Amino acid sequence: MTSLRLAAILMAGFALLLLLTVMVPQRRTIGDAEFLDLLDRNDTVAFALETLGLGSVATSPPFFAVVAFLLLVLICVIIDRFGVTLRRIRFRPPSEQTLLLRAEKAATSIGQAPKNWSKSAKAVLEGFGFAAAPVGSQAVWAVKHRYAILGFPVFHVSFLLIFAGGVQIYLTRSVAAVRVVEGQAFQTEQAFVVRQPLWGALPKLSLFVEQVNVQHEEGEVVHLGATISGNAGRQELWVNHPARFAATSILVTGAGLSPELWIQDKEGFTADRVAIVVNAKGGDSTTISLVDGITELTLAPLPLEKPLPSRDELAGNPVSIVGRYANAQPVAGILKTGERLPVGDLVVVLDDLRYWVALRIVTERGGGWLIAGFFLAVVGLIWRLVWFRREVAVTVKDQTVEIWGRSELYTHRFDVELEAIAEVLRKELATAAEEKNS
Amino acid sequence: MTALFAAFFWTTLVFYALAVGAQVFGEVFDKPRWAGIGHILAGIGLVVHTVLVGWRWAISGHVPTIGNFENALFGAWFIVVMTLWAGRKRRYPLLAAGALPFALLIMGGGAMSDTAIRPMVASLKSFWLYIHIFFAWLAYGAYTVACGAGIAYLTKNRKKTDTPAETLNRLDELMFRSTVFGFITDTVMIAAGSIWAKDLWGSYWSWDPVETWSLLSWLVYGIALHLRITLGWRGRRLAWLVVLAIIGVLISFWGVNLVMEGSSHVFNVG
Repeated sequence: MTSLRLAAILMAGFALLLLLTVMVPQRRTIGDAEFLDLLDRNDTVAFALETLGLGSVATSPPFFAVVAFLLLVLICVIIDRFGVTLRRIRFRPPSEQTLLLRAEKAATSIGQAPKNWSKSAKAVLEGFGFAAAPVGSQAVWAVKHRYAILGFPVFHVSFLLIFAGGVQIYLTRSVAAVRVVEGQAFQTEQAFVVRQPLWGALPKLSLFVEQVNVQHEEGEVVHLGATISGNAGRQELWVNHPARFAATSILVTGAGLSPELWIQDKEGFTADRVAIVVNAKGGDSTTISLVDGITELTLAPLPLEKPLPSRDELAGNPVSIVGRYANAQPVAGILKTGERLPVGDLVVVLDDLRYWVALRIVTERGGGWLIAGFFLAVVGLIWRLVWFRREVAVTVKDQTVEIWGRSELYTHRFDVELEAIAEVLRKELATAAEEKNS
Repeated sequence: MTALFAAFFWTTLVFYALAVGAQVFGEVFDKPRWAGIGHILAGIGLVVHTVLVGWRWAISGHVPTIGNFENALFGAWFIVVMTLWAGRKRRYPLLAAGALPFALLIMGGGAMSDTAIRPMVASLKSFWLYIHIFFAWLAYGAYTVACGAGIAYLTKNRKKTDTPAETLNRLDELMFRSTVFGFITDTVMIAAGSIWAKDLWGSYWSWDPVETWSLLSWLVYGIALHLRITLGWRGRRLAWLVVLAIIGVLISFWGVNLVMEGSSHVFNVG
């Protein structure tokens, strides 16, 4: 279970699954309608996408199996290497005999060994940032960044945190969508549920949309937000800056215009009032029943030249209405703010044109684990890959000082460092030898 | 773009192309001096390129990050800066020849996109944009340097050449160090993008094609690091790996939006 080959095979398998996720049409990417259309076209395609699960790779059993197996291997590797890691971070030099044997294979001669050669060697190595200690009478051993290896478990443990966060999010995530006219209240429980949580319930918030905020720049909409309030407090939300109420985020996803219609009888008394969410050009018409079903109104998509006019420009936009009173013939009209359309015994008045805002209500838990995992991953990578463990040994053989070293990573860079250490040590030893002679 | 801006733009490309040509010429005709000339030409091109980036920044009023053209302009700048910095001591012959073609490719592709200046739209008005984009460019620049070093290594390591082992070792180490740097910055990029996605779309991860390709690319480089650190892959094997791995980077940055629908990644804001 701790074999690198197994880990490599699993990583390659995971990579293959990721490749399938981008090469094969996925339901969540292309949308339900287009996905179902694909299934209808061809039985083989339907078999591959639906039966084999290739249309939802990220939530398919093979995907979960590979991820679970990878994490299992990861846990086994971390546990397996725990002892080795602990041993390697201790400052524990090898035996003198081991150092001398290694020196025979790879050492570079520096010069003659004066009396206090080991003291000089220790001082030079410590000057280069190593932790050094004499080993017996013929060797000095030094190590630098011996804690660098801790970066390995830190980085790999981060995957466990990310996985835990991902699982918790998957189980607790709920998504709902609602369109609310400014000046209206809404309950999150009454929103259209896009995704039910597998654990827990939908959030219960009562909120009121005070105002929709639209920012224009050179005639284009450059920002969109809303001000909402309720028993949970008052917040301003914008695209990229959702409102947060505990584990629930409320995001702005769109906006449009909403005619406010008054239905009056012949005496001028108001029989009904409503603000209707109407689509923009290209969308569907909106049909509603008013006055206990007596009147049916159909509002066509608004023929706006710009997607969302500024508040100053709202009043001038026309609204196309087709009204039917009881079983009478429908009556059509195009109204601007303040204008009236008789529909049978009633009169439809366009009182105002306001904004509506589309909100996405997302509740989930586990994001904290995810972010902690990201942080640990970066820390672990820097720890493991930027600081690297290296050892240097200075030994004496036949009155000749020799130096050798080894590095986990960046061998060329270490060779340059070793040459520099050797050069400094050579000068130190030469100076010590001169002092002795004088 | 205006005629003057276009003139600067094409001047930059010309200098980069000349730099590549000089280094290739020096390699083919065994004239080592031309490697240094290529480096100088790339440096001149970078000066003009820097003026372009600053110019675009000044007239647009925002960091050049909106749309394929601005991303290409600024991203290629990072590639060239990192290539020249890595090769500053002239110890890596052919490095510019290996890496700069990617800058040329990206800038050329960007020039074919809509170059109009657009206001910063709502979906990009986030502090996380700068972190995500900055680390993305660092990562892709580093991967490109690794690829360039890989190409240089493979060229120098042919049977009929007598390239010193010292040169090959340096190139090998540059491949590895660039990959390490790219991997670390790639990790930050993905993490920052995920946190940003939560604010923008309400979800840390949506299996968006660009997201998935970037994860796939990250995984490939992770496998490369494993092979190097644990199995000791170096030399030609590592070189081929980093040269082929750049394909994933090019696809995730460029190719996905060209051939696939369904991505919410706003590279090209309309």
